[in-house]
Amino acid sequence: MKTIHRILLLLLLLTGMTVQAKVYNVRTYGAKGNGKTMDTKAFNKAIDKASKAGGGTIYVPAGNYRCYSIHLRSNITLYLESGAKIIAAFPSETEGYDAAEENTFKMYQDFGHSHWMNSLLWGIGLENVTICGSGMIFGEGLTREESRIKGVGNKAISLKLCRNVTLKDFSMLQCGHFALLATGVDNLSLQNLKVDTNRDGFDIDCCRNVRISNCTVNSPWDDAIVLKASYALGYFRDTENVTISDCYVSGFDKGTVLAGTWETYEPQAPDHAGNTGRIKLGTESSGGFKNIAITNCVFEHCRGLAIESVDGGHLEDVVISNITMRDIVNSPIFLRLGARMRSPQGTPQGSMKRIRISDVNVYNADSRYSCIISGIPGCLIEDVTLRNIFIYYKGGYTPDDVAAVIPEMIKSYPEPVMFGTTPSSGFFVRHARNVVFDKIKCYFEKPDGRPLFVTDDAQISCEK
Amino acid sequence: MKQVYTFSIFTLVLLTFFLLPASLLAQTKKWTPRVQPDHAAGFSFHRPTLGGIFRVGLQKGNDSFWLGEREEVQEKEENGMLLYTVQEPWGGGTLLLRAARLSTSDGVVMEVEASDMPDSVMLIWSFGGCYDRKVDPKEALRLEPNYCKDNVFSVENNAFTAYYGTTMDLKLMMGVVPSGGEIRLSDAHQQATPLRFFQSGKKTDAPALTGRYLLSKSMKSYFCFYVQNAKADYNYYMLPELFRKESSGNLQSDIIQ
Repeated sequence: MKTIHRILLLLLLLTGMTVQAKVYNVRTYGAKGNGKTMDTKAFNKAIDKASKAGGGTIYVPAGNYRCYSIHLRSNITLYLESGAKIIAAFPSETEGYDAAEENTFKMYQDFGHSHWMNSLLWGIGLENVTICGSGMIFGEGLTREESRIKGVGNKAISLKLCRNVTLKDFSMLQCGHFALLATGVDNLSLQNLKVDTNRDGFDIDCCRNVRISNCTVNSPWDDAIVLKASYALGYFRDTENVTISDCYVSGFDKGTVLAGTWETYEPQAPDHAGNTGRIKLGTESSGGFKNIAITNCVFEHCRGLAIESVDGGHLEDVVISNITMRDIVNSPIFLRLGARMRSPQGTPQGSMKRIRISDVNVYNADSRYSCIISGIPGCLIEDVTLRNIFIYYKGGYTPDDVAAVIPEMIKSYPEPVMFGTTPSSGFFVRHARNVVFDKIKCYFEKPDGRPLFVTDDAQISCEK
Repeated sequence: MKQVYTFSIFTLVLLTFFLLPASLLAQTKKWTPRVQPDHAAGFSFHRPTLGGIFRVGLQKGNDSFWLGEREEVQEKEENGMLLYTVQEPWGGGTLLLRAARLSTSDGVVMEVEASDMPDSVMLIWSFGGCYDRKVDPKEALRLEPNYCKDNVFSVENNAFTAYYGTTMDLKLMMGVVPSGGEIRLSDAHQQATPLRFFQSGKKTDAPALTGRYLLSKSMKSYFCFYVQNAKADYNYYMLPELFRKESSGNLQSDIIQ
């Protein structure tokens, strides 16, 4: 009887071993994790090995791994153990990140959006990719600036035309131009990421079916979570079917959210329009935005919610609810349909319609730029509902602060600052139709002499 | 009163003409108006609005001073380059600073050569005051706190980008400084000594950058400040060769006026 038990136990163990996924420890492939040695080759070797075996988990134990470009592959999980830190190394005269690949369509969006290979972790045309674990990606050696020197990298994670991608649980610090650039990625899930970076957090560009949930993104010097629809792929592709839920976005001093010190000594972003750190749709908007839901999100010490289409994209069916914001440095709500038209010649003007914003509470919003809903002459924002909106403005402006003529700025980069001080204290609505205000309350810390609503070429209705 | 004023200016011009060495007058012609050197290895950048002010100091322990304040700085022009020599006061070491204008952009590249430097001497530098208004170059020798408001510095390792101006008219200045040191956001209200400036912290309405690095007994290090363009895009490892090229005497450039 004992022999039978032993045989059964042995069979059980063997069966267990055969079904257990293969794990590729980067240390086995030569990674030192000492923060000094370059570990790029070891990571790429482990990933290649897993990929050639049909897939597997690349295990990164605790340690500091200094790397240049790591090449993701299909069917892999990169697991960052607690205490594991992948550090983007500074490029040297002889070593650096993969070169930015050619892109015939680079003139339609910024350099950062047009290339993927000049990144710390990148993948093109992949499927079934997961990066997870409680470790950290520290983009120390990535640039947020515009250097074109060979070997310079500017993104922490960059994905193009991939599907079935999950990023979860890890932290990201100081990640260059983008913590994540995902272009043309379908079925993308971002869960429980903690990001504190020096330019954009997540740029979700031309992606379909995206879940972003339970994430923290502090990005005082650019947008935190931003949906885009650029022409970087060389064709129009909408960003659609996206949910952003249970996220916190902010503009505290760089690095101080992950450090837990929450500093506010640096009041300006490089663009001099106040700390950024917001959720935004746009600016790159050659393609459209459809079926977007944003709910249960918190903004703090940053710019307000921005919804923009300026390059010909059709932005429609957007629902935003249950948002609370504090210490907002510009328009709490900014809707802009413009005609910058950074798209192939002949692209028709875009549209913006069917937008529902409800249950929003804003405290301590700078009053220079009130909420703005602005299309352009002949190109109107349509069918917008704002319901249960409570805004506590700082106030303190008078009609004398307002220019006699508010410029249209049709081709301008969209930011509330482009209009100068708004003529309204609450809402400025121009070139819009069928805008419904329902249960809107505005409060002012200091008296504000401007009218609450100013409309121009706008058809609005207000309900109590 | 008006007569007195006129006389004063006239006297000043005369004195300047007779007292300044001929080489310095030539140098001023060559370097100004876009890059204005001072007489202590510092520079102000005029594009033509003020794009920043660079200063150099030395520190040993708790003692520190800006070049030109305590020790005499010998200054001369040679083949279009500016040469500054200073003896540090703690051990007889010499600092030779040689600056050349960039031919690719508005800017300057500087080599700092330390010789016989005693232990623990640090070079402290500051950059700030990107004001975006015209300032008389003769007035821009000192970093005034009001020049610094809303300056934003993006520091990456030993390089930085200074953002200034307005949202609708944003301007940038780039800097590359010696590696292996430390760069800090600092308070331009506290410049009495380089060390005080370096330790002043970032809680200020007048942000500027300071940095410092250890000078070894004998070493060369490099600084470069410039306006980025397709030809002017630098990493620190490029600076020795950039300095060699720009200091080779061929300073014919479309930006030298």
